[in-house]
Amino acid sequence: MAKISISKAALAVSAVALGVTGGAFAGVPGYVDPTPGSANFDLTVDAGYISAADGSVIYMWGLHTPDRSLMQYPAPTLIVNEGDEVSITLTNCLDGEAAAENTSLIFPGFDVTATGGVAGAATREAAPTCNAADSVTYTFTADHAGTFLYQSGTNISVQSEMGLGGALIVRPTGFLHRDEMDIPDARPTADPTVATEDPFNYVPQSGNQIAYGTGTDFDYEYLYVLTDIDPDIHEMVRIGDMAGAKSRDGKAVYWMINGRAGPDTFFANDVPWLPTQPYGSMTQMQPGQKVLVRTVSLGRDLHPFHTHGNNLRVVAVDGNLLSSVPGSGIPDLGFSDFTVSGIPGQTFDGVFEWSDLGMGWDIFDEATQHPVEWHEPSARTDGTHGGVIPVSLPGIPDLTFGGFYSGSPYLGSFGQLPPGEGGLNLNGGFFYMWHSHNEKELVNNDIFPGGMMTMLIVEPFLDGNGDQLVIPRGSIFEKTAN
Amino acid sequence: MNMIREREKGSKMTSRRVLLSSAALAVCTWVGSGMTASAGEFYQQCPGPVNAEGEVLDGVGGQVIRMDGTTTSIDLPAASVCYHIVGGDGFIRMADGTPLYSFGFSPLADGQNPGTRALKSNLPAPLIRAVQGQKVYLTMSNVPFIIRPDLFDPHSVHWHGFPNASAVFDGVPDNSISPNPLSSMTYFYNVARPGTFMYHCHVEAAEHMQMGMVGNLYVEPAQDFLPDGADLNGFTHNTGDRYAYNDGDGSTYFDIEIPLQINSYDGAFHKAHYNVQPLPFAEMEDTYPMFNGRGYPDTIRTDVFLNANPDFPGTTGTGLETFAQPLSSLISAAPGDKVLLRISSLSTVDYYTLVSPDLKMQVVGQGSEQRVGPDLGAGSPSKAYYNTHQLTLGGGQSYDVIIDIPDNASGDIFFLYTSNLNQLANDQQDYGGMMTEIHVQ
Repeated sequence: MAKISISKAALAVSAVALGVTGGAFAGVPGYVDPTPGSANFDLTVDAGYISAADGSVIYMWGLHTPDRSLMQYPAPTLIVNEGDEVSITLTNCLDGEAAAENTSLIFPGFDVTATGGVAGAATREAAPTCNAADSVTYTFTADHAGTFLYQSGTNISVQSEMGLGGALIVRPTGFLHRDEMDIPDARPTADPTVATEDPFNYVPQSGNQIAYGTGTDFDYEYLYVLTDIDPDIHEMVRIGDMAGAKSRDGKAVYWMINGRAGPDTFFANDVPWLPTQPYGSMTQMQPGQKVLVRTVSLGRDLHPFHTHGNNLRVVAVDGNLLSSVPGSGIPDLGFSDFTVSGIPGQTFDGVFEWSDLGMGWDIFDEATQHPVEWHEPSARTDGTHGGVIPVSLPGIPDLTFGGFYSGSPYLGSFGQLPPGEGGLNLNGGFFYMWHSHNEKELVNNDIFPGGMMTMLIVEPFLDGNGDQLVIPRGSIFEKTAN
Repeated sequence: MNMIREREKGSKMTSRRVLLSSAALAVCTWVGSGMTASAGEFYQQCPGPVNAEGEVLDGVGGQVIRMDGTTTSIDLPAASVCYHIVGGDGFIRMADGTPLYSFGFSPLADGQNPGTRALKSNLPAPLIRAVQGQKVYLTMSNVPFIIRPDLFDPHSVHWHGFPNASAVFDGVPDNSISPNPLSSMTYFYNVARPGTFMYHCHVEAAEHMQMGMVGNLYVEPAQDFLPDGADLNGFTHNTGDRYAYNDGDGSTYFDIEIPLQINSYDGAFHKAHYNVQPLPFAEMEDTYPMFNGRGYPDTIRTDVFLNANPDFPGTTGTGLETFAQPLSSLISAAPGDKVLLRISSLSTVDYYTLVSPDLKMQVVGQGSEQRVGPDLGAGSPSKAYYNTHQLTLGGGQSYDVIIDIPDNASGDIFFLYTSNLNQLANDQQDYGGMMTEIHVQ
């Protein structure tokens, strides 16, 4: 088993190299098995290291598929279809580690059969021999759709902290990827001062992108695995002081989304300088579209997850649609909130929408966004076509500029910036921070900013060259080797 | 490929811009030497004229809206409302008598030089109220820190929960612009939805929010201004009746309301700041749990606290005193009253659970949205209100709660406090912290 130490030089890569373009971000990267009716995965536990954004290196235990030689944090996202017979074989390669011990996996929400290995408190466990003869196979039927988690079922307080946990997504029957995302065909005609559930008239597109049923359709989906880390526990495990690791109260000083602390969260999936942290969480959409927010809380603390830009409508909890009529697919028991608690061991799904509805001024630039249907005077039902921003903004010497500010308050536009400012917003999009609102968690140990924080980008319909800007389809996939 | 926007800014301006001072001149005098005068100037943008008493006179409706941070009365919805707040520093008194160095916002009367508000920050920030359908012009002027002249922090205003926010007015420094010291910026909001929100500075959020740049903000529903006698599905609206949301049936009617914001301070963090020490982010642990910027028993005092800090002689007895903690959390009600609590949390560290052990709390809204459920055949969503004695809030969460004061409760006192009982303290002083009282007349 190879241990690597992460080069800090990689982190010196300037944020200018973020490469905030479409392709690398969109969707939920994960593993699928293309075999109809079944899904088989081999997962191996290894020790390794991750990098926190303040430059520190943390010893971890993690899972990986045969595609990777290094463990990853969080565990591989597994994407299966409703009705699949799921089979996951766990091999424990913690041999050689000072605190090597048995490990196992549990899948809350499913009726699991475990074979092989040795009996444990919660399920059958794999001994740390790195020998297939000691592997455990967990099988279950993915009998309901939703967002779920899986994690260690052995010495769980320590092993979960060490990194043995990830997300499991079950696609509903009838799910079909779209080739093209929805763009509303007309602006809402409703009174913008009245809240409406679904103000958009969508053009039906091909495909059937739903999380549960017809009431949970989406254009893009993203996964947010919320975790917190107390590095002292990790150090005790590394040196083999398991009693010390267990007896600690635990006090997190790192807070992460998809295994990365901000601002590493902004980087694309699979960047080479974060080899054990493959999942980014930068989120993209266009006005009027729907983003499915799949949230999995694998940390030990509650985290109030705040979506700047608009409220999030929660439609499911723990893989259960919030519906008064079972089978209807309509989340009529859902609720809307601007800050939703990520509760340890819980998952929730929310649908996020954003438009310039009711903003009181026209965010679309006359010159650059002219071909956009929404921009047309006849479509501006709120009478704001061509309406300029109602206040004058301060002059350049009066301001501090954010790197994601294009220099213009208008969508898809750019404006003057002082030398050295801006540069991270390639399309003139609107950026919104999504983060833990216990603001203490926006730091990496004693360094601000960072922590449990990522960004949503509302992209314009046209890029700076006047070409249609397309955010790639909802998911990208890596095939498993088996 | 970068296209510089050519649109003439002044051509369709709906607001007028009033220069309030040559700020560099005025404030540099206060701070003393060492401050490089920038091109900055303080100004306020507002679509209409303002009167001489610190009240904003709306340009369209001519309605007066008070903005003194303590009481506000709105008779009719004006088309626009203007606020001017100042970001800076000051001292906030904890209930055990300890003054803690703070950052914060303070209110500004119209025409006043923001420099006069230096070292006069408030906790919580000035209460901001608006009516659904109004346009809000919120000017924030940044006066330099007096105690920390080594810092040149910009500030911003984040209207937390504003639906369909634009990026430029969202206040996140990474994604927009933030006014530097000696500068002003006017934020514009077209207020489309009612509800209980909150606002805070988002610059260096972990630090500036822990230091106190947090405040109450809520929007009243348009339903408040129905014509007298209007029928609301069997409920008769009378002029002056008020509601939490556009409920359509009077089910969120209330007699009195009080914003109740959870704030909390880490004494060690504030002292480290005052002493120009490295800031202990990872060790941040709040030791002063508060409602509306005060710990019990100060929460039930109805007077305004002056900013008078013995550690900084310049603020005591020199005519520089100003109110710093304007908002009482005492709930004074009559038997039979319906009391709307607009509960929000801008704690930066912990979740808190509030309990009302004697009186039921009916939760009618959360996260600025009325709680609604399935359409049960009436053609509109049903109500999903629920009764509880406890609510748990993390930072950035809000609830709208209605408490019915019993008819036979005259003279009674009810308590509202955190059931995280270790938080019923003002640092080392017990019997304090996050607690307030409901006094029934």
